Amino acid sequence: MDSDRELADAVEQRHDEAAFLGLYRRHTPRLYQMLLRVVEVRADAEDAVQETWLRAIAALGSFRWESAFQSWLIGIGLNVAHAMVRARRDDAPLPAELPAGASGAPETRLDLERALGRLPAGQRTVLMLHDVEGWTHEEIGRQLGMAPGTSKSQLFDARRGLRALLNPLAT
Amino acid sequence: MNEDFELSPEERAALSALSHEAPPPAALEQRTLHALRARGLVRPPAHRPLRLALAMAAALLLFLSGFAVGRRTSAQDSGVSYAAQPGTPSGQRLVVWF
Repeated sequence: MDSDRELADAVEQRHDEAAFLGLYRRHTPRLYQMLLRVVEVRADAEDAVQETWLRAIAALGSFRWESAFQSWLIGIGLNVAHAMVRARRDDAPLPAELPAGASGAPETRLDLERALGRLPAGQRTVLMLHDVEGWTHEEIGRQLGMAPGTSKSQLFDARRGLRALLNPLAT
Repeated sequence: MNEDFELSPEERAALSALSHEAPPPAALEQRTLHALRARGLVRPPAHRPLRLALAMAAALLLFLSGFAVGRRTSAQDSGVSYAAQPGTPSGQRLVVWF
């Protein structure tokens, strides 16, 4: 199986469609899940995935391969998704869709997904990247264009908010 | 502000049980591909059967041209050196191309 770099080089240098599909099929399931949790509406998540790939392929020449391709791609995707969330901030409340494909005990998972959905988008993103995906604050800061200290602060608020939402009597 | 607000083991387990991937809709792949093609960022591969047919047609044309030139040249006996071999039946000649 070709590496991300080999596929990306083929796309950048020869506009190789098959190479693009290799990258797309390898990375989109994770990207889609991540963006779905941020924007919470499937149609918006699909738009965000498409826009993410357009930006990523157009910017392939500027990627220096100092981080994993997937981290870079997700960083682009999260910026796209946050712009969407900001644009609709004052609009009507979001429909109560839940991200697909979650595992775990159904009630716990539903409660957790609902609670995540009620956190501010920035806090939700940092909590997902840190506590679900296992990114460090440095990686989060680099990909989202924020200081690591801001990431720590957002994580603190997100964890406290999540606990309050899951156990309202305990706080 | 720091990250000292630790999650309980149950909270941590619940978060790690969340799925990392979700299958995107199948139509999204084609939609994304069309958008990339429209911007010239990817190109569809050349159509293989058409390319094969063109190559075969070119090979056939080359063969027929060579055959026609050979017949004409042998009929005109021009630009060639041949020698009637002793004992060769009339009408049969050895053609040597230079």
